[in-house]
Amino acid sequence: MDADFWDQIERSRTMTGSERITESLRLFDEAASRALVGIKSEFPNISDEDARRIRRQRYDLIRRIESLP
Amino acid sequence: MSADEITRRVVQVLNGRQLPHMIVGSLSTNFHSTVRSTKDADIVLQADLGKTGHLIARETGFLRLDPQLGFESVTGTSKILLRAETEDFVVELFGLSDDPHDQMRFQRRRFIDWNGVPTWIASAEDAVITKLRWAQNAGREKDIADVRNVVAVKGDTLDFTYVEQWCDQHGSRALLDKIRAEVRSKLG
Repeated sequence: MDADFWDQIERSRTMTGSERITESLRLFDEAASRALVGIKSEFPNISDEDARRIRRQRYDLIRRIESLP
Repeated sequence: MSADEITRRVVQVLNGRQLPHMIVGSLSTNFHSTVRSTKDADIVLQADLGKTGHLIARETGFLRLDPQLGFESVTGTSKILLRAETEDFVVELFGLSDDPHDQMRFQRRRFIDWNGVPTWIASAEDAVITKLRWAQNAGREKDIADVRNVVAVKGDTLDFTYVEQWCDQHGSRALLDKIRAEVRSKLG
């Protein structure tokens, strides 16, 4: 636990619980957009559809790993 | 469509049919502590999972039901997965199980107004107990981080007598004590 952790705690105290839910969902959208940009950078000639397919495969893989005991 | 819109729409369908439900998982620990990104919305449901999944798919028009029924491996709870065709955000619906703590946390769920959408959410204590159980069984660092966040933000307002009682039953008491000691040492 470092200073960033406590900064985050203090910032969160200024938000309501509902605001924190909304913000965490917004962060997902932002991360998903960035992931798409990263995939397109990795495969410059890829179509939007294929880039989204790869992103979905990656998310599904992570979910599968996380669900394992 | 945003993750926020997808989640709200699911809750609105559940409200429209008066289906008892409770937001759990990372959205609940975010509610009680700090913000972190999450790839899915986890909702416990006291209703037929399959029928409700089909109902949500039909009423939203943009979510589809994953045909495969899943299981949450720690408590063996059934779950179904809903996702939008073009988005990667996922809503996981879990059936309310007979597990004693699952029953208890559902009884203790809190009503909240999520920016105009009425819903229910696991209490901070029950969010901690569930995350510790997961951390104990699955060893996921993010579960430990979620617990640490709730303990740090809520501090002594958490009912630790209640939390300890369940952790003793789940074998996660040592982990709880370790996290509390870490937080306490940093707070001074």
